[in-house]
Amino acid sequence: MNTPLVSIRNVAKSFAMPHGAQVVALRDVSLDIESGEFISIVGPSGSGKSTLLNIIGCLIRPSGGSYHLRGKSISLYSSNELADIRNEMIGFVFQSYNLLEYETALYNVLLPTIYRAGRMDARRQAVRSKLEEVGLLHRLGHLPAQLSGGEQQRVAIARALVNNPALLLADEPTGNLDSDTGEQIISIFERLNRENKTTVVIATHNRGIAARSDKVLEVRDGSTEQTS
Amino acid sequence: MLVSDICRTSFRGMFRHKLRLLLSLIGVVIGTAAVIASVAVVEGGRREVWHSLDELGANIVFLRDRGEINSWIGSGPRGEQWSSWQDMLTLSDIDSLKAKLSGIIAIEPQLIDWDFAHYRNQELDTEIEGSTEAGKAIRHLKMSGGRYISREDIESKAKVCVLGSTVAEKLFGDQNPLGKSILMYQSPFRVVGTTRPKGSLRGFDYDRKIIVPITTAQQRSGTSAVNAILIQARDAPAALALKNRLPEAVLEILRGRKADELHIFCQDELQEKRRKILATLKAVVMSIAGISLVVSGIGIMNIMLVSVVERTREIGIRKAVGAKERDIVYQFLLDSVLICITGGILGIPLGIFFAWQASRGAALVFSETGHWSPVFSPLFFILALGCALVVGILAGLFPAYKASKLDPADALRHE
Repeated sequence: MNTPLVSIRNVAKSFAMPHGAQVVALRDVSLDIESGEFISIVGPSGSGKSTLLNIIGCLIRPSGGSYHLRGKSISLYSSNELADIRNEMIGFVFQSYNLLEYETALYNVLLPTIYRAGRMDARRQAVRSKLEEVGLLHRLGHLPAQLSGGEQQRVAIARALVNNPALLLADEPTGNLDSDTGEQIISIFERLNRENKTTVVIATHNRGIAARSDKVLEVRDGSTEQTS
Repeated sequence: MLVSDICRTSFRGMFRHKLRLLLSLIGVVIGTAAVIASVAVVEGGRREVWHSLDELGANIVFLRDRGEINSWIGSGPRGEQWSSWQDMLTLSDIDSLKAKLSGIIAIEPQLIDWDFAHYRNQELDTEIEGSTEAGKAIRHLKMSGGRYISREDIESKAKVCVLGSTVAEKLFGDQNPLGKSILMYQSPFRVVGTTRPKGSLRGFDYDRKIIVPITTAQQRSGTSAVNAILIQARDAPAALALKNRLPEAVLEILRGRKADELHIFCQDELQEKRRKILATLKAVVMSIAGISLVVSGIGIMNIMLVSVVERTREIGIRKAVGAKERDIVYQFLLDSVLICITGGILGIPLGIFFAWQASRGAALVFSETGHWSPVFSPLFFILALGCALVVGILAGLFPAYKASKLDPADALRHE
């Protein structure tokens, strides 16, 4: 039996508030993600979807439980090692795109590669390839303000893919887009999953999107339940 | 993260807020310019002092007989009665002195007196020096007209004289004194030369004097003695060594005299005092300039902290895609260093300009010769840039550390 790409057991996450109170975002979450799966995490606002995605993406550490990535516990990694994991294994797409507003589409997609070294010409070639994949090669010199919402999100996807990650995480990727543009984005994810076997995990409140994935995890009051 | 990537990232970030960059640069530019100007002006002053001292005789030993200083020779112009001469060196003793002491390049015997000089209705009390032809070279005297005392003047005991610039100006005003006669010792003396202004040092006024052949002065005084000797050594340290050996050598010749009756000095004491003053001045001025650089560094740290807050989301994005803490530190540290190095480079020409302006002012106020040029050296510029670099590193360290410790998830939520 293959080791899951991601294995989470009884993970909890609390956040300390300024006056000493604790906010519990996740109570007891367990899930496995196999390589090549297309998974949706659904739930209402405030249910803990983004927190779970951030834990999977190694942006934050859980307060309790265990998280194994490719069979190794992330509690064994230092913060710099987690940065390397985010750079090499994980691609992140955010609801608000999170592009560098003063940099061109080219530089935004190039960004993860500067933390990986390598020759500049090879990196630029990889950037052009990903922008072409998302259909934006003709816009590489544009600033984010000169791009539509859908184009910005496609640049963000290209950035997430530039280092050929094993895991692509998307947090409400269509949240700021109209339905047609949102459909384009989801189609890109489906194509990546189908053709490149990229493992895709999408956090969304949109049940229509969730229905198109292999597995749906419901997050409610900090706990998960697989519904399909 | 490669060095080229760090530099590229910093350069792109630096020029994003041009007004902020300009304001940050101004402090460093002025601080660097202040450091360069202060060092250059003080070094120029030090060089000017040495030059002045050399011009006025830093390598000269002066010997005067205190008996001469405290007594008068014969009777004065108003009928005062003075004590008679004590045993003093004569012209023939000068050769003995030269033989006893090594390191003497030239020696000028003098017979110094004071009297009134008259020209028409002008009168001036002035030092009258009986001198030899060696005096011009020993004292670096430059002529503004005519000639100096010659060997023929001395041998013939001619009644000729050379006027210092102060005497020429006070007796003759705008007139050319050459060829005219002045009255000294109730006798006419023909003016054969005038000297260029030399300034004064420690009461030694080279311009308020009249130089006559020493034999003429001795004849007028009825003595063969000399009461002052100027000895030219190779340089200031050699002059100091001669000064220490001179009393014994002179007292061997003047057996009846005591050492405290001789007044021997050279410029070393004044040199030492001026050296200390300039060293103190340099330390004070550089401290003030350094403080201005530190203040500019604090300003840059403030700007960098604001920049960290403004770029919080950017830091979150960079960390999310794989930037390590040290990558963030390098980025912000280099931002600060680049600003300071750029300011340092721009401060160099401004510092040169400040130095010239300050030197002009210093020449008017402090210089006895009216000259004061700043001294520049590549070492000063390197020192100034080094100071700017240190300020940049120190100013950027805390903001860079703060930026590196931001939580990426929190940073991504920052507006």
